[in-house]
Amino acid sequence: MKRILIIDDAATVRMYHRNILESIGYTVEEAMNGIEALEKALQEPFDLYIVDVNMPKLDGYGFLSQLRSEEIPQNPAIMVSTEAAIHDQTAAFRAGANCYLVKPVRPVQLLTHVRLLLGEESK
Amino acid sequence: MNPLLEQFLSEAREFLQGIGEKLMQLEDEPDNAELMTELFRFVHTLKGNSGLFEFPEMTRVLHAGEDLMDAVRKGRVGYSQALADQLLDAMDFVGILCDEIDADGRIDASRAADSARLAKVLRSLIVVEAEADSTSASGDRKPTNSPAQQSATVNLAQLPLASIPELNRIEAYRRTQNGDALHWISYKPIEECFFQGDDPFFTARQTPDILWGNILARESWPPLAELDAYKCILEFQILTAAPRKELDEHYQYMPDQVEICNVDPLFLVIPQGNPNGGPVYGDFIDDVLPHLETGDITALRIAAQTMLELSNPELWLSSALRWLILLIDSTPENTTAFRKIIESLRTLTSPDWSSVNSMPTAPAPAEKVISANVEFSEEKILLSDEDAAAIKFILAAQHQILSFDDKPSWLLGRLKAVAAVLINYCKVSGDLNGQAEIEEALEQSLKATSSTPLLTWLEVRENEKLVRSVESNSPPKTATTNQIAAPIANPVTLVENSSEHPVVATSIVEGPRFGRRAEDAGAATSSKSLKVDQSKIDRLMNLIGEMVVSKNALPYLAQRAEDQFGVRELSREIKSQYSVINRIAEEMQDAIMQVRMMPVSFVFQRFPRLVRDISRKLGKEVQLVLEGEETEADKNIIESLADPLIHIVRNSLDHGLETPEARLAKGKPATGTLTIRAVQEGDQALIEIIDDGKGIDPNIIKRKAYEKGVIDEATMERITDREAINLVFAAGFSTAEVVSDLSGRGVGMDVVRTAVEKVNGTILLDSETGKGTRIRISLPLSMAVTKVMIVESDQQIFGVPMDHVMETVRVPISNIRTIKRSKTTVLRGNIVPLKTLNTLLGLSAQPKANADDEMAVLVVKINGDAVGLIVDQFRETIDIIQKPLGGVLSGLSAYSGSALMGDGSVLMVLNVKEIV
Repeated sequence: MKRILIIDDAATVRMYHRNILESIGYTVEEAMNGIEALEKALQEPFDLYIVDVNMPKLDGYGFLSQLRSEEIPQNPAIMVSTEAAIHDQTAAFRAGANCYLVKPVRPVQLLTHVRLLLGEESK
Repeated sequence: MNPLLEQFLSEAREFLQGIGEKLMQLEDEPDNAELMTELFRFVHTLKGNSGLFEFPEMTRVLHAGEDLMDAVRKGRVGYSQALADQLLDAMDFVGILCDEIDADGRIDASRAADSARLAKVLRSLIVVEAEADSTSASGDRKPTNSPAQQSATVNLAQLPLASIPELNRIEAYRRTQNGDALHWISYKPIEECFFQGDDPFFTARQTPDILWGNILARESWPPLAELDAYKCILEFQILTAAPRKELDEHYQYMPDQVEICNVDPLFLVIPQGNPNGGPVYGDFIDDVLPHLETGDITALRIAAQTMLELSNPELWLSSALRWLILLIDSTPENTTAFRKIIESLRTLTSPDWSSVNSMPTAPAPAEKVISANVEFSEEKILLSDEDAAAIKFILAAQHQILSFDDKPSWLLGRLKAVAAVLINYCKVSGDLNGQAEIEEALEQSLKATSSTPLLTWLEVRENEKLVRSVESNSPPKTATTNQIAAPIANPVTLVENSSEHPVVATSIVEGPRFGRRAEDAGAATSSKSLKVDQSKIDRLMNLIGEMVVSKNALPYLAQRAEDQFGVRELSREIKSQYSVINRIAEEMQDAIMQVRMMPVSFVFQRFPRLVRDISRKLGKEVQLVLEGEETEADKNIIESLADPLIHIVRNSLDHGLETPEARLAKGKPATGTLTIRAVQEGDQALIEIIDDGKGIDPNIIKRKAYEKGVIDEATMERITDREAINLVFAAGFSTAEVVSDLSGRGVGMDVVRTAVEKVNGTILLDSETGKGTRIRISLPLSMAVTKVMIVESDQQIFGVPMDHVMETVRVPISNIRTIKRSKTTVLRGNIVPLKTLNTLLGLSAQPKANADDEMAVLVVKINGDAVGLIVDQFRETIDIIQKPLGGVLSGLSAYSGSALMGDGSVLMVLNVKEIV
């Protein structure tokens, strides 16, 4: 099964995303900040990353740009943020995100984007 | 409760705590940017979390708080104490909402007004400052990004173009024939725009070259009672023929609030009308299609014109025909469009223009195609379009990423990730060759460290699809917004069975695995600490308690084996086994005790805020010093300590510390110091609250105590100053001259004393007039296990907590004197009053002396003084789990509880303070 890493400092958001993703059988792991996420990704790269912007220690941009610098399989990343402004999105893409969703992400919306980014047909 | 909600509440409280702390810290160092960022992050995250639920009252306040903190963080608004006050108020409100959700599962409707008010206050802080700014530097509001950068691939089919009357649409279409470009504007003024001096209606009306306009509410209007008339929730929709440049200029000060998109005139072709009529259309379609095949446009137009004249103009058919004629007249070569309209007559549904390129006009300069605002419109998409929209969104994103011309160090990784996304897209769309092509393009891109090869692949791809879907030989001349939409115009595999999605959505929320996952989540995310429900630990405590008691049965068993059955060998084995079990049980008990320990900071952390608020209210300047916050004690003890401590601190601030003027007059620094210190001393935790205020005058206390009947005249004469000031702990004592809002509500320090004694603690007060007051509270570290000494009197056994026991001595009867009718003796030069336990308990038997005419005296410490209890005999000390007395026995104040002994008998534990 595809492995997805949720990176967010808010436990509530992690739980929300985890519940959605696990409901259709993805394997989900969590990280509370960029540093922790990077450690996990280096141990075994994930098939997809769902990254929050604002986090302590290492934020989402920092995490993505470091992840993209690593010699590991580069898999898609979704950045989720409460900001809908265009420059936030551009910054996310520059840092290495492949998709930008605005919180709160609706369950169907999240699942659709995750599934398409993972290259899976609808189940 | 839903575990997600539970998680939210527990996290929300942590964040609120954190916000409070950070604000306190900011007060000391208002320029600390790191603190500010941290504070913003807390508010921001909390707001984000609340957005997952339907708590608009909470989200509204947090949103305002977030905006305010963002403004502060970015230096647009200065940090001030007033601002901190408002923010604290708002967070208190959010805390109340949390409690309400916790208790009732929802927020009471009455909160909406408060929420709106708080949000408005917070927002007003932003506005006031911003206005101040704009007067000083009017250039500040210069837009950082013009709306031009915001060009969006808003799906034209989703725009409410159909709501525009046909006449306006025809007029608009005609304008395009003059070479004008059409633009759709969606202008959503920010909610607080009125406070910023904006007039959104005026702005919208002044939009150049308006062809049509509409105003609607962005959200459903709240009930009249909750309506905030100062909040703008309008959306202005405008169709204009003005050039983009003019529009950008007109809306340059509100780029974030405006979406402007180019409207392809074909999208205005939406036939409308009465769908009655039927078979005649079928004939008509069969008649005219051959004209189209042969390219006889003139014949087509004549047929359409004839049909139109024969038909009721109200009909859908007529509307379609009018458009057909208009199209034939304006763009006679666009046969694809004609065919679309004609075929739409079969189904009476508007033609889908998303795959047709409007041939005649090419007004749009090749704008960079990015999908900024698809998100906004996506909500409106039907579920079946979810996939299509997502694909479009994702592809547009990859296009934008590949179009960047920066070269960061992680460029190659970024390219690889885009390639991975594109390969996955090929898999979804059933494109078998795509993967190889992308891999090749990626290799070239990596070699050249440039995104061009991948970008070329993507663009070629988009064009190919476009050509295929248009079914036309003429290649597109320009890249318009339609092209990005084109690849998904006919994705066979994508749109199917999305109808199952609602099922997915609901099953997520209440799925059976939810609960278990919640625990997993906690374990996975914080490997260092684990949140455990307190009832689980309580259960462990009870179990270990029972085990300690049962283990105590073993020595009795060993004794019986030896005495009754004469098996000394077995007795010894039981005893050695007992010592092993005893050790394990003790360690286990200790370990469980550790789990229950928590630092006093749990209580201390409330004080900065408390002291700040109270001292502000009283107009006093107070510096709070907290020491030893890491000192640990049992959770129950810590928790029971909170209220007494708050009471003491209030008292100190209210009665102890003087106003700055009074302090200066006495030669003290204007700022008073309140120290709260915790230290561990042996198995006691010691907490001291020290202020350098005016202290307590023992004479005033004595007089008051006498007036209130707490003491009699004789006592007033006899007691020492120290005893006098400790009279404040007596019931019904309050010294405040004026009953203030903060303390002195008639509940005095006796409440504090009772609370402390309830957890087997002691409280002591020292004071020096004019210099200050010190209150010492000593508490057991753990209340779970009590070490008691067993004493015997009148053939019964009693337990006395070792916390009270100072020593055991044997006093010869000859050394016992009677002074003022009280028995006393002298121990190491100190006079110790003696009391007989039998008398205290109302037992008639006389105490027994031993063979040497000595009395057994248990010296106990009560409120710092030694008192000797005369008993018959001392026994061993043991650890017991003390259980409070239940039922009718709970009224017996002489006993603090009972415990089960190893042999099954019950030991009554004396409440020494009560009986002496």
